[in-house]
Amino acid sequence: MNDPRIILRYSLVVIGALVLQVSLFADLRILDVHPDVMLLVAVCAGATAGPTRGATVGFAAGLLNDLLLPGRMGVAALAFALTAYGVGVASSTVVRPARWISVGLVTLGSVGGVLLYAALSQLLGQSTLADPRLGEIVGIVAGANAVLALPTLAICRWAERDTMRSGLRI
Amino acid sequence: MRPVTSRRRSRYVLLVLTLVAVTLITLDARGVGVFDSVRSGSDDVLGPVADGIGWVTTPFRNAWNGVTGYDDLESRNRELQAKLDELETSGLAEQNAQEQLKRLNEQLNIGFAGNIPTQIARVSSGPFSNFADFRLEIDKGSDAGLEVGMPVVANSSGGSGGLVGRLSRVSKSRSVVQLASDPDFILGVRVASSQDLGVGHGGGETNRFIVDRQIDLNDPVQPGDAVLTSGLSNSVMPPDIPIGVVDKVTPDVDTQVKLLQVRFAVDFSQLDVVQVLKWKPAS
Repeated sequence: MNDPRIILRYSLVVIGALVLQVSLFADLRILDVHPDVMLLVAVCAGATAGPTRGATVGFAAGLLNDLLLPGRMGVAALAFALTAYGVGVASSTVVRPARWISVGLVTLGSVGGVLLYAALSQLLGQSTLADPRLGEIVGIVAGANAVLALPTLAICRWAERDTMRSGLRI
Repeated sequence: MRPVTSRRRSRYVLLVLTLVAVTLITLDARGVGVFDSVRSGSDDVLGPVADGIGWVTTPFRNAWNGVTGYDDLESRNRELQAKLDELETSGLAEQNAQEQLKRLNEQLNIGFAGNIPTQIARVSSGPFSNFADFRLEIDKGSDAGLEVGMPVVANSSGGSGGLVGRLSRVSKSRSVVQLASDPDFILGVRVASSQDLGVGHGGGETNRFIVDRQIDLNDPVQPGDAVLTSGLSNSVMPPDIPIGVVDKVTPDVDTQVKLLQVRFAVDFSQLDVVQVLKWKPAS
């Protein structure tokens, strides 16, 4: 991510997602679970631009998310970076993924991201993996992120447009 | 497929990011103060922006909550309609309005605070985590004289109110309250009827306060007894703040103590306004 225009655009995307998460999506709850747009941005960056960009954007999005969450600083950053990296690797095995493949990857990535965050938090003393609502949380976050996947993928393609034109996935 | 150099580079980037994350986690776990400052600063920056956008999106959020909470609204509506019919037939509507006004006034007049100065604050947001959070954010901070550790109390509808928690983070214009239901919230307590002293902690998802130390099997504690903060010399809370009422008593023969489940005096899910007691522990 050496191009300053791409850095600027992704900064706008991640900060915009944070503001929307705090002011809007945190209140749009189904069974007391809200969508996680920071994780969504991370996995969409991985699906759009590959593992390196996914890990970097995921780390930044997770770090900002850590400012809001009660756990240790760096847990969401690590979970989102690893998840987006995985999605980026999976995505890079397909030359031109169809829309439904990208949405499927984002959905699976959201499931993995929530479970990884829960596992890391559990290791650090919180009872997240043992939370009786874990299934509900995973299902609703993945479902909501699947619904929001197409516009978010389009936003990531906009952030990535210079490298997309050259066909480069890093 | 990506070329080998690209794969190497992406693995290298992931390794570096992982090491940075692990370092951050370790430093935070060891209590490095800079993280609290960063979090407080972000509260100050994000709070007003989120409030502004939150105000703009209020109709949309209300509509969403109306749709997703339709069943609750419907049952609540039925309850209120039945109550209204009852009041109309007995001609008590005006008296009820006066009673509600009196209760609202009482919310700003908490008796157990004594001479301790208080700061009224509005609950500005609930938990941001989907997992159990046990925190809420209020719209007052150090500019209003608040400090970490200060007790937070509230009145409950129809009751005398009680303990909500304590301030765990304070920025200039915002504060984060650690709720008394947090399993990490540990507190010395006193049973009002018998004056027995014990130690308890938040019960997490059970939404009860659990007293699991120092109440002996012989101590005459019964369901329905009020539980207050102990207020001993080194306590983190002033004395006699109501925590709740004993809901269940379970004798534990192995440890020779009674386990008390205390139902909180305050419903944390219904909080709009709280009061921060400007009181600090002696040490």
